[in-house]
Amino acid sequence: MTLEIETGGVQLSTPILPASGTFGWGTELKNLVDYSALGAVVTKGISLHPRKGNPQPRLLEVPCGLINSIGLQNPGVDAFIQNYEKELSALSMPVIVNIFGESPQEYAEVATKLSNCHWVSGLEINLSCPNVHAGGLEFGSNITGVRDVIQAVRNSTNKPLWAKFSHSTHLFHLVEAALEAGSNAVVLLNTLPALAINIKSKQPVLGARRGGLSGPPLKYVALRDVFDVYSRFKCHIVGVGGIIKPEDAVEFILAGARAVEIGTGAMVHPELFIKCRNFMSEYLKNGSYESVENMVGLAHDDQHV
Amino acid sequence: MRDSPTHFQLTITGNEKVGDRFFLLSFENPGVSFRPGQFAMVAISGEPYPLLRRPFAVSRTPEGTLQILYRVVGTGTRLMSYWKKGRKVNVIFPLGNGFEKIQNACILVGGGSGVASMIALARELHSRGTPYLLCVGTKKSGELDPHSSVFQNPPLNVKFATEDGSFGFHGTVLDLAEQHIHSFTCAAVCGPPAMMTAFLERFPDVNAMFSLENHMGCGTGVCLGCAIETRNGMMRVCVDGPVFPGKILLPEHLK
Ligand SMILES: Cc1cc2nc3c(=O)[nH]c(=O)nc-3n(C[C@H](O)[C@H](O)[C@H](O)COP(=O)(O)OP(=O)(O)OC[C@H]3O[C@@H](n4cnc5c(N)ncnc54)[C@H](O)[C@@H]3O)c2cc1C
Ligand SMILES: Cc1cc2nc3c(=O)[nH]c(=O)nc-3n(C[C@H](O)[C@H](O)[C@H](O)COP(=O)(O)O)c2cc1C
Ligand code: FES
Repeated sequence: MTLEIETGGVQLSTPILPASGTFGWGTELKNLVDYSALGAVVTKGISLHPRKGNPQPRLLEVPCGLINSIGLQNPGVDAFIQNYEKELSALSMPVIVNIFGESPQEYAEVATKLSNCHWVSGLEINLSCPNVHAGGLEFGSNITGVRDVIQAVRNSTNKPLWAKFSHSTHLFHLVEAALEAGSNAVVLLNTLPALAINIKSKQPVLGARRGGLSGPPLKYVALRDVFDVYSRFKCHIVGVGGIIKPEDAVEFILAGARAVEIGTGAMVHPELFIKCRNFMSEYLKNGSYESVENMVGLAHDDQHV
Repeated sequence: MRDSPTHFQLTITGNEKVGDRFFLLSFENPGVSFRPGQFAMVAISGEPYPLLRRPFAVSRTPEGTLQILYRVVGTGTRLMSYWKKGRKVNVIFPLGNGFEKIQNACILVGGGSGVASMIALARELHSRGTPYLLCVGTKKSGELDPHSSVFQNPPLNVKFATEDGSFGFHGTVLDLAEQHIHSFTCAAVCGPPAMMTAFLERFPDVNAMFSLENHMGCGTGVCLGCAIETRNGMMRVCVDGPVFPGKILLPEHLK
């Protein structure tokens, strides 16, 4: 029986991963997280140039969820490599670096720089980033944006690519464009667009006004998207959104994901990673499954022989 | 000495009301080493609501009991006020940098829930015999009981200010601090953003350390939810702070 699974070109020792932006640059939680639970680490988003991110307040707790507007704060790809290369290359697991840019060229430049790093196992491409040349429309919201970014990155590196999406009503077309342009897997979902208003100040609560919703409310949307995309494409999927207990992670695998990422849930309870790994092992054992692979997509009728 | 952050299931030994809106929560001490100003991320429930852990400064009584002094301000602290002796609470502790060892006479200025962050420091200075004065500000009398063990175990050198003059000095805690600040070589400050900004403006030449209370997602440095711009670049309040020297803070970013 094994938890190992190849996902989007990356060999994972377990299907349990942290979600970008909730696990720092990958090594901050060494004292609090049992890294043997993790199939890979996933870094926060990296861009070509440093970014200060958004003004405070950046977080708002809402019932059972979180709205954040961190604003993709990061030191830029050069400082990232310089500051974190040593620690990240010492990890015994794959490192997935999450990247974003303001133009397809920027994504490609970041990818080129990371392509030269032997310790980078794959790139997760955050498509929920405004395209400055298209009036701030997110790349991931239209087929052209997705195709341009993934193609540009594909032409810059041979590393495995995971295209990460937010929910969209035309997700099928977007996923298709990403796969055609050379993405090895899709990651579903990024946060949902969200807003909260302070009725005293009559202004949005967050410093950047708009934010993204994560945590339990997202789970059922993400699960549905994983289920639908799997049934349509049978492609490699990483499921993300609202996992706060081990059973949630199993649901994503049954819906068709080959791995899951845990964000908000593990940011609050770092012990969730090891709980998920142990539960997944038990679940395999109890069901007499040889590997996680045998569990993928079991919620689909046509998977039952 | 500071231990690295660890998960604990701490057993509550008391949760005493020490004023109209303040409670003093006591825990068995699992033998952790920490500095005044370091904090704990406290899980309110094992359920998804309220979702996030809450950050609280931790102090130690002369007997070694761990204590959190908290002000009831919202959902999490209201639920905490119902906690009973014997309950086990999931905390991650100790977090943040804490105050460096203070060698010289120091004035401690706490407003609102910020008073709590000053207690651990006052207790340490008291036990080491370093001269200090703790200035406590509330809106009116009764919010925080001066006779409670917060101020009596050990008996701290403390003065109170109320904005309505109903107890102690009539005025803000900064008005009170102004009367005494010339006798001290340094200051430690914690309170609402407006109070800390006012301190920076009123006492620009005082060597002051500020303990910031930003909203926190993780408390462990991974989410950047608490990050602020300083003269030394972007910093995370939860790991690079919560204690910062006043000279690196930018008043417009103290939100
Ligand atoms: C390092 C640090 C140390 C602190 N020490 C103490 C202490 O010793 N005693 C004490 O009474 N308070 C302290 N606070 C403030 C305390 O964390 C908040 O009062 C508390 O989180 C409010 O929770 P709530 O659920 O009752 O309020 P709600 O308003 O319902 O909380 C909603 C969300 O906002 C956050 N939040 C609300 N107010 C604050 C605030 N002032 N600071 C940070 N987050 C806030 C909550 O954590 C939660 O995520 C400290 C804060 C920090 C950052
Ligand atoms: C504080 C925070 C920061 C995030 N930063 C990023 C990021 O830099 N890049 C990215 O692709 N997604 C980012 N995300 C989205 C998460 O990776 C994840 O897709 C989302 O939060 C849903 O998962 P969850 O419900 O388990 O948190 C962030 C989420 C949070 C809460
Ligand atoms: S609260 Fe998450 S980085 Fe400080």
